[in-house]
Amino acid sequence: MSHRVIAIAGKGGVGKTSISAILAGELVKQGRCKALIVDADPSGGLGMALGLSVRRSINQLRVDTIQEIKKKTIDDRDLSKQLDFILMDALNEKANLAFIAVGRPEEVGCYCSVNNLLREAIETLSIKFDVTVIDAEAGVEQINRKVVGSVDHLFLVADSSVKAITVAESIDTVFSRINRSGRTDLILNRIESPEQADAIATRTHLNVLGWIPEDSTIRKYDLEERSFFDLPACPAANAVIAIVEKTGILTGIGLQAGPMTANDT
Amino acid sequence: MGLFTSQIDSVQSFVAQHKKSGRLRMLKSNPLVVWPSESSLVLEEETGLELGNPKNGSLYYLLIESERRDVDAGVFLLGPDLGEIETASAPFAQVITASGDFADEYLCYRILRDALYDTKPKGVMTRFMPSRGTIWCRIAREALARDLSLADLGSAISSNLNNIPGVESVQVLFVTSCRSQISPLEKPGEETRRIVGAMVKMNEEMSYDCSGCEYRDVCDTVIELRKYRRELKEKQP
Repeated sequence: MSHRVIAIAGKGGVGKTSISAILAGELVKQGRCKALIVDADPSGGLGMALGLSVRRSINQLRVDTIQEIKKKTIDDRDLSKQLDFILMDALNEKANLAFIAVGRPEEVGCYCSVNNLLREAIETLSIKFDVTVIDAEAGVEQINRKVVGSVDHLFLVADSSVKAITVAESIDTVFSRINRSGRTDLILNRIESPEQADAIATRTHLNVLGWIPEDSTIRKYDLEERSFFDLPACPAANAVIAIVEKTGILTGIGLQAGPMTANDT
Repeated sequence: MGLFTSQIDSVQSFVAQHKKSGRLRMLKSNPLVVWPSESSLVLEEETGLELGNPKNGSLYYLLIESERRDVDAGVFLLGPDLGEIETASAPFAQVITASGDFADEYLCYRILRDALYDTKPKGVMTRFMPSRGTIWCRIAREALARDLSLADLGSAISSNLNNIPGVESVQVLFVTSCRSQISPLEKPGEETRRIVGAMVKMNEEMSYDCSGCEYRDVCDTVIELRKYRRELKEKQP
């Protein structure tokens, strides 16, 4: 079984976190693979959507490690072992899934070796999982900083607004420059009808993989801060699973489409 | 005298004391059955046993010395083996002592340490915290069901270290009994980390000004470190 990395990006407020949470919930429900879920958005909504607390964010780990190595002299190999330890300790686990948040950056000076080794430690950790799902920060900045350099499939999310499509296209431009092997597709969210989805598809060069209907269940779970692990089958969740399944990226990892898909209606 | 002579003396005195009391066991693994090696991710839900949670007691270090003849090679255990531990989490200490011909002790130390880190028995996920000398292992339920023992873990470590040129014998000491039995090993462990820290500083920072160095007390105690520092300084252009 090969390792896959999926990132979900787009303009702020288009529903990236809900889509990531639905996907994470489905991976737990099916329980067939080990999944690492990374909340790379500094606002940190994914943990809340999943009902998982952030034990220590990656940025906190970075700061703590820097404080620790100021007291003790250790070489790079020991430092990388140290990072492996604290990274594993920071994971919040639920069944076959492990969750970690990037958190807000706290500058404590330039420690390139810590930053580089931490990036390596995350990549090394990620490779051990069957699938990594990254809920990316809104906009293009994180893509620009090559945070999602090893992504196999970038799902760009947009609602029906022109601005959301423009942001998705900008991210696609940056992503294709830094990651030539990764694939990009557009997912339309909170769509009212197939006609509306078709109309948006004609306005963009991005490949529209599918659309997710406006769904009161998702809104209710968001408003009530309920865990998406408890989300019942609903049109939006079924659409997300069907869309991801359509890409084949999780084939062999075990994700299968739900019983009903909004896009098939 | 070597860099870690005093620490090896302390550990061997601990070993001798517990051998005498009859509580220290020498573990033998079946040479015909070699436990497979594979880097494993063991999540909480798959974990059958956790070793070395810092709350319960956790310690590891590596000691090396040239021509050290009084260290018995083999895998020794104070406390229950994996299949005998009745709780979900147990304290854990792992102290490795290697003897052989180590011309450049810093280089050899790093090679042996890397070999220790690269020992990955299937179904065991080990994490090291070098700055604190703590070790944390998760053993998969599946590995326990297949009778993985500390003899397998110890012989994997021993075999990896013995493959390194110059290594003549390896002693692996495990403690799983209780935190109080790990305590006597903590002081030599802290001293070991300070000696290694001083060596790293000398090699990586290229600073030979001792006046403000945080490792001055270590170099004042360990004659071999001062000798090592002198040799490094002489190599400078």
